[in-house]
Amino acid sequence: MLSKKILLRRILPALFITSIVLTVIAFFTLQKSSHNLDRVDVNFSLETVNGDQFNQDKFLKKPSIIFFGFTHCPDVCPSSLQLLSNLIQDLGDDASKINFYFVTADPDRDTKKILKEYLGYFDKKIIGITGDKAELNKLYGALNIYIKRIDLDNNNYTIDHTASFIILNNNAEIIGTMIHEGFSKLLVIDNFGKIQFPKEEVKKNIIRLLQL
Amino acid sequence: MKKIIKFLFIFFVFGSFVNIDASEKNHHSNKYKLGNIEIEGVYTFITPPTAKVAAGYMKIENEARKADTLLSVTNVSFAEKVEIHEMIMENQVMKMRPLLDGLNIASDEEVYLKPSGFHIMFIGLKEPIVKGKMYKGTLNFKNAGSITVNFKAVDRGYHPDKDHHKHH
Repeated sequence: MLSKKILLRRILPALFITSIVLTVIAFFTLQKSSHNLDRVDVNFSLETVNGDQFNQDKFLKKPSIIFFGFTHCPDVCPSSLQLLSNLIQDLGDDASKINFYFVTADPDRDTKKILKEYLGYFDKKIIGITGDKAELNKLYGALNIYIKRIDLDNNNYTIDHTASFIILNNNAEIIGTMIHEGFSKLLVIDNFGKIQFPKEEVKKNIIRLLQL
Repeated sequence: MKKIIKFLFIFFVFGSFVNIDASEKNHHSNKYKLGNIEIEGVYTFITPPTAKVAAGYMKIENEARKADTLLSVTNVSFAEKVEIHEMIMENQVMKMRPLLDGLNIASDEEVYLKPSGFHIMFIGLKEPIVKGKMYKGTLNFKNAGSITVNFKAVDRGYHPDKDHHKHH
């Protein structure tokens, strides 16, 4: 008779081992899916407006929220910086767990000095980045930022640029974006499944997305 | 008796606040009329000290039987140059272009110059835009003629009236 003994000694351990194997496979599969996110994997070398080194390693210790703009932009850039400043205020202590960057789209006109003074008007946690064009281009490319100089009359020019905020987790992966909803509001979008978080709750959505 | 005095006092103080509010509102919505053109809610945002540019906004209503065009803004002492711009958001890319032929306002239409849309662009600021100050400029229309308005300097996040929300 196939006794209870066999059931206990053979089948149960087999089931047990199978379940462990399945769990491990599931774990790695899930891990893998998070690797579908775009990752910043270029090396670039820039400096902050304060003269501190700024390279790809800065995206590893803390999550980052990054906006690209220029000081000759009258409308969307100062408004975005204001919205970011408001968010930093809302986040309170949690704000120190994130790095906030404003990267110039116009290194010709935005010198360190000009950018630093300009940003002094907004929340001091926003770190200004400008510098060598080739190095900046690497960063734009890595974060899928569209930047194009448009020449106007009288030697003047403007810059078409992506106006969404890029959100990186602390593994330099693009985990989401904040986009402009109307003008005075931001909407958080999760890049895993493109979930649009409720617009009224930007702070909570950021905390949720970055698991702060 | 004391209670009544207290009540009257509160009533009075509250009342005066309400009054201040009302007068502020009228002040904010600074209305102008030029023939069949009505202009309302003229403002500009305060700027960081090193900013070289600022944007001006307003609502323009054309009650005339034919279209009109805002051709230019002149007589601006605080900037080197003034242009009329449109802003387009395409796939989250911000594009700004000068309207070289001016801003058209169709008959019986109202056009909003507002953040993320049309704006008057002040280029080469000679001084930062400071809160509460008024900044003068003359609007030149093709048909209606010219009128000088005051751009009121306000904080970012300011909305001139509820109508603006509707159009967002």
